[in-house]
Amino acid sequence: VTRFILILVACALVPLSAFAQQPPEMPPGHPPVGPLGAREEITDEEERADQENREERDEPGVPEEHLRQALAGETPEISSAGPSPEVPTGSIRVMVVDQHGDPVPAVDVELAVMHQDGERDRNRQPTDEAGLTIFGDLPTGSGQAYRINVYDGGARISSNPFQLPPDQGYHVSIIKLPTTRNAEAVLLMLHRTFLELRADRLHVVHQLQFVNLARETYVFPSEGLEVRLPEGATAFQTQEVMTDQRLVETDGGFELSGSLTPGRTTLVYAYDLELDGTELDFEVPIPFRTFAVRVEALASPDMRLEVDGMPAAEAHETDGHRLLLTEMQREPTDPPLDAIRIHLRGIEGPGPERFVAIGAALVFLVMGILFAYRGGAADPVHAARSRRLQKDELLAQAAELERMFETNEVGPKYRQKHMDIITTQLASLLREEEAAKSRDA
Amino acid sequence: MPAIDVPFLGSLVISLTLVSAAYTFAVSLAAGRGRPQMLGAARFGTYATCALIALGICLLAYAFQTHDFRIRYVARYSDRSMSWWYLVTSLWGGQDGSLLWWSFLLGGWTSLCTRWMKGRFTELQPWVIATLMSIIGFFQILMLFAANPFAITPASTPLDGEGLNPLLQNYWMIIHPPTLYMGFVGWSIPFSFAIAALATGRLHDEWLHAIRKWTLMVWLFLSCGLLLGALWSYEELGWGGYWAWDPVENASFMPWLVGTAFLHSIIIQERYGMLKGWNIFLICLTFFMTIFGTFLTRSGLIASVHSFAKSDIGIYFVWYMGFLATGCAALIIWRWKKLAAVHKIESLASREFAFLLNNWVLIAMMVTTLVLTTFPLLSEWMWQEEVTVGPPIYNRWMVPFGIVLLTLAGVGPLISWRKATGKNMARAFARPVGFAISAGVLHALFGSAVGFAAYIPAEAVYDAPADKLLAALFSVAPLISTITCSFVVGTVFQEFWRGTTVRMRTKGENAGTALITLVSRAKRRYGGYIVHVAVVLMYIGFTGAAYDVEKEAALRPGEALEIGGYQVRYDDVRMESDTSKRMVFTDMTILDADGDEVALVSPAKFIYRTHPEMPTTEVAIRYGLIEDIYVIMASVDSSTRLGTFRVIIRPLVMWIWLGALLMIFGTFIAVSPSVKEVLAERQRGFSMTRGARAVAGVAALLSIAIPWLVVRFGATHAMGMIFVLLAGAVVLGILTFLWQSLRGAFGADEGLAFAAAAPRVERVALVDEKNALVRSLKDLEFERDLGKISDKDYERLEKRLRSRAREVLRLLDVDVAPYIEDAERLVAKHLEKLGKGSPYRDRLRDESEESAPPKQKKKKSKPKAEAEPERKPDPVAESATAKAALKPARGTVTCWSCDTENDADADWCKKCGSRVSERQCGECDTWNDPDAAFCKKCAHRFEARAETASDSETEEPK
Repeated sequence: VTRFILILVACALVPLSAFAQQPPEMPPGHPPVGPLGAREEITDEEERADQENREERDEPGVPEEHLRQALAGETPEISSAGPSPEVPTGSIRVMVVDQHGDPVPAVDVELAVMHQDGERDRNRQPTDEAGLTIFGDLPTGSGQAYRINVYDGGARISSNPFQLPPDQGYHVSIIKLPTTRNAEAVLLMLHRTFLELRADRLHVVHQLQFVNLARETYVFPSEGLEVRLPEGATAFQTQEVMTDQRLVETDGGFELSGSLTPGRTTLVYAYDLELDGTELDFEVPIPFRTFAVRVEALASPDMRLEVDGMPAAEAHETDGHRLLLTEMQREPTDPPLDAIRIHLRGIEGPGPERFVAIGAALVFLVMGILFAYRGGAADPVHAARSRRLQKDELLAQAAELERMFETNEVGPKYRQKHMDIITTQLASLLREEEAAKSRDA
Repeated sequence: MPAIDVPFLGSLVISLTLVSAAYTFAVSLAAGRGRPQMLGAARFGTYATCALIALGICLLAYAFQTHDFRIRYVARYSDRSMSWWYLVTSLWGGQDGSLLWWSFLLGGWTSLCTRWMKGRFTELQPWVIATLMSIIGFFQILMLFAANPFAITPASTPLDGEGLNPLLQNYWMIIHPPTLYMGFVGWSIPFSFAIAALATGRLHDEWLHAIRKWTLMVWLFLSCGLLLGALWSYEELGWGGYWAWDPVENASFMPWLVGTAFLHSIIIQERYGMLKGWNIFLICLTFFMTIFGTFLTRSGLIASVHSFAKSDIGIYFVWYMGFLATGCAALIIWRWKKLAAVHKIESLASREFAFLLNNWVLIAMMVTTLVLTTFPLLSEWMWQEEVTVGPPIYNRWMVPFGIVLLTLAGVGPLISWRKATGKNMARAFARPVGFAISAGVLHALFGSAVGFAAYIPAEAVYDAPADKLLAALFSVAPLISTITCSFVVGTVFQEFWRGTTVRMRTKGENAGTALITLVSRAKRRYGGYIVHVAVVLMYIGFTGAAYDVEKEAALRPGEALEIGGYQVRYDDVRMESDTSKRMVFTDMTILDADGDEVALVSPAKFIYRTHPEMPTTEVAIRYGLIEDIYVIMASVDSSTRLGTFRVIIRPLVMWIWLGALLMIFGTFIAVSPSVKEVLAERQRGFSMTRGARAVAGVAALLSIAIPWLVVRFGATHAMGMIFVLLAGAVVLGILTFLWQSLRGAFGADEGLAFAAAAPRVERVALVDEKNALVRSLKDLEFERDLGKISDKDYERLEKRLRSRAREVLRLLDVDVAPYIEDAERLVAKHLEKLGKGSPYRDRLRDESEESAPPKQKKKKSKPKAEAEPERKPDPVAESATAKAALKPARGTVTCWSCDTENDADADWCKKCGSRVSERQCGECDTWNDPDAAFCKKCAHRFEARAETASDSETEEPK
């Protein structure tokens, strides 16, 4: 995947920048995208001048340098945390600065504490003039984990969770960037769909690789970006991320909220589709402007993968698995892509024997219920034979008892008691015999 | 890749198991509804079904040993680096396989029970089998449609598997799940008997007699399973405890609570015919809770640290639970009148009431656990609010319940059955209560000095009055526990001591013999007392949690951490590896206050090749009777060697495991068969020796074959071959059983001796009542000897019991008495033919005399159907005849009071109720030997006794 991304980065810088400056048609429900306008033959001087003008006009834009850094994953980290001997043990010092490195005063900083037993605490305090705030008297060790959050214009900037060491404090730096709800600079660089057959269902995993090409934090619409899932999707799962994106399951889809900081962000979610038969067709919506789409499926020898509008899937051998793969890259001039339709053929099923078995079991069940409902009578021939056999068994028991008595294994009292039991059972059999004879007569 | 198509064969076997279970279900119902000749077909069908399940297990085990990663389950839960024994444990390491394992264990219980039932409980048998088959059928459907362990990997076959969860690669994993499953699954047996009793209307003690030992064994397995789980958690999970009130733990604990209530409750029905409906309800609830627990564990409904993955099988369980609840409720309502109690509790100061209280407390504990376990779910559903219920809440609620339960364990044995007077209770309670108070005072005075304070302040978890009250109780729980535990131990000791002394006094035995005889004659009672002591030991261990001390520190080699009077020094870090994992050990030395070395420990982290993201914490424990030192290595930096450690001093944990061992011992005593039972089984044709020889032979064969195969082919291949051989043997068994079953179903079986008509319900009920009355009389006498009941109450109760016993004996005699003589003659003839002696030789002489003109002594001529086809014995009119027929037949003892002949081992006269095992002097009321000529106290001469039966056959009964 990494290799592929690097190749993509190398090959696609030019078309991507064109993408970033095209005003494309967005799928329904997509957040508004601001105009950019096409430009030709821009020199470095012009670029600098343009940038300065933009900054003066407070207009958004995606300079080439930002674009390159964003695609290469070289954007500066907006939060960092680490142990510091300058901070007292049991304390966390937080510094909030803006994109230029200047301290930001009076910003509410939240300290989130997660205890080992699952309980959570939150504590907020503002930064001072130097952009600093200190949380003190905190327990050290592995009994709890800490995290620093700063909220700004719908975005949340967070540090990675950490535990306080027993011998020094922690220093956390947060860079507070400007925010925007304009998705002009956000691109879905790769929409990857991975299909895996599991027993009676298809497990679908989507990996969305976003890139925010600007130096602003993009904030999703306040009500969330609604994304549909294929019909019949169940068991929606999403991979928890440390960054500020939240995928909340809704009726028939999910809602994407939070923010995207400059640079790359990857979101993963999955769901299951019920398998019924040997074929499956479903549609996957594409929520953003997309550069590349790829569909992969772990396949059995007879399985085939087809995606409308994409090349025929090729079979690859990966770690002993047969992998079917198809992909396409899009041009800025291509029509908008709302969704892709995937077809799976030749799926192996569990076979018909279970239905045969359930059918046979139902027949026996009905027979059993009929037997129970109608009742019946003991077969006299069988009953007589059975009585005879039981009589023989009792007599054999008597003989065994007598042998035990003769070899002094049991005493006279035991012998008498058990012989009485045997004779009582024999008497009972004789009574039954007589009753049977009476019935016959 | 193995040559055998295991995925196809395995799925086929599950399908065939379903068909076989359904077939057996059908023929069982036919046998249960008036076609007893079908019973043999049902029995062999049961064996065939169980053997099919065994075949399935053999196939899956073979697939694991041969790394058949075409099977999804094998690919997910094993890899090529695993040793053969972990490949075997992988059978139950995941959901699909554990369902097959569940079926296999149920098949094992079912086969054993079916084998044991041969010739017994012939009316109940078909319904028991049908119920068991329906349970097996449900699990087959579950596997076929939701969790097939033989399902193939739908995509392509991986080269290696994902491997077993590292936490499960532990020796406790080898025995904990099978033991727990045995306990879970085993409740199907008593449940099936209860359903059979409801279906047939035979709701007297018959089904209880059948399940008595099964229930105890199942309870033992479940208890051991829970404790092994606690031990696994303590040693392997590395969080520092043994019980976390996790939903999965609770899922096993709930059926245990209800099952324990059932174990106590059936004693009352056996004794006095009370609580019939309650017992049926309890066993149905126990089984229901096992299914509910499985549903909780497997549906993913409630998050748990060690439940199986979320899956779709929940809905199947919901339907099955609905079916169970509806079916059981319908049957109970149908039989409501028959479930009415014969007697009622006479007094609140009685053992019956103490048992009932015990039941209520156990059910309250179960309901509390259920509510707390499902509360997060309920909260989310009802109030859309996510809540977490942690261990502190459970502990707060369970402590008072536990104390009440433990107190009842002490009170129960001290109170007599039926009714206890204040004077007797005072006498019985005086010593145990005195002992408990003394222990409490000592604890209060000196507890703090030895590190076990009587009072430990506890704060309320929530700001609610009830929680404040619970917190207050929690604070003094150590002191109350000491008092209660001492009370129970005092009670049990007193029971053993008084029982032994009474035997020494009345039977003239020495102390050792008296103690052994006492226990062997009432194994269930005294085994139960030992279990009570075991529970006390465990409770002491649980109380020890109040004194836990915990400390955490980051150390460099050479540095030490001080805790609870010990120094734990970190010496060094070292790394090792094997084929499946890397291991990082931190060597540490534990030193006492004087600096002397106490132990060397090495907590570690294991990083498995297949799960590098999931390093396991391997704790190091230094066990001790007073306290365990529990060392956890949280992390270690291999470059700086800086390690973070957590050390916990956990007092008295060892007592839990000691209690567990004692509990096993006590239950074994309660379950173990008496000499009489062993002899009776032998007489029935079941040879323990033969069975032992067979097992020893197979074991010897395997002990030769397995090493040879291992040396010849390597361990993994050898195990694969062994499972193939086993599968082959099982296939032969299946074919044989099916053939026999089909022959039985189509009437061609000659070996169905057990299908004769079962004794009538009324007669079985009378026999049960007679046995219960005899037990009650013995209890009554024993309790009078122990001083638990006053003479006045003794006489009143004894008179009532004896009166009823006389009536029951009379009714029993009426039924078969006219045929006894013929039966004895038959036995005598048979034995003579074999050249053996017989107690009925005289019958043959009678027969020869019978050819001559009949004598007056004959009370009954041989029944002739032709001559008297319409003969219907009138119970009252034939009562005397019955007695006459019985009289000369037995080795008897003559009542010194009324000269009635009684059974040789009778203690009481069946006519006048006098004690016949001893003779009372008319002058001084002293009890003497029955055949004494003079009173041993006043030397009064007794009248000459009537001749014994064998010497006076011609006498008329008086």
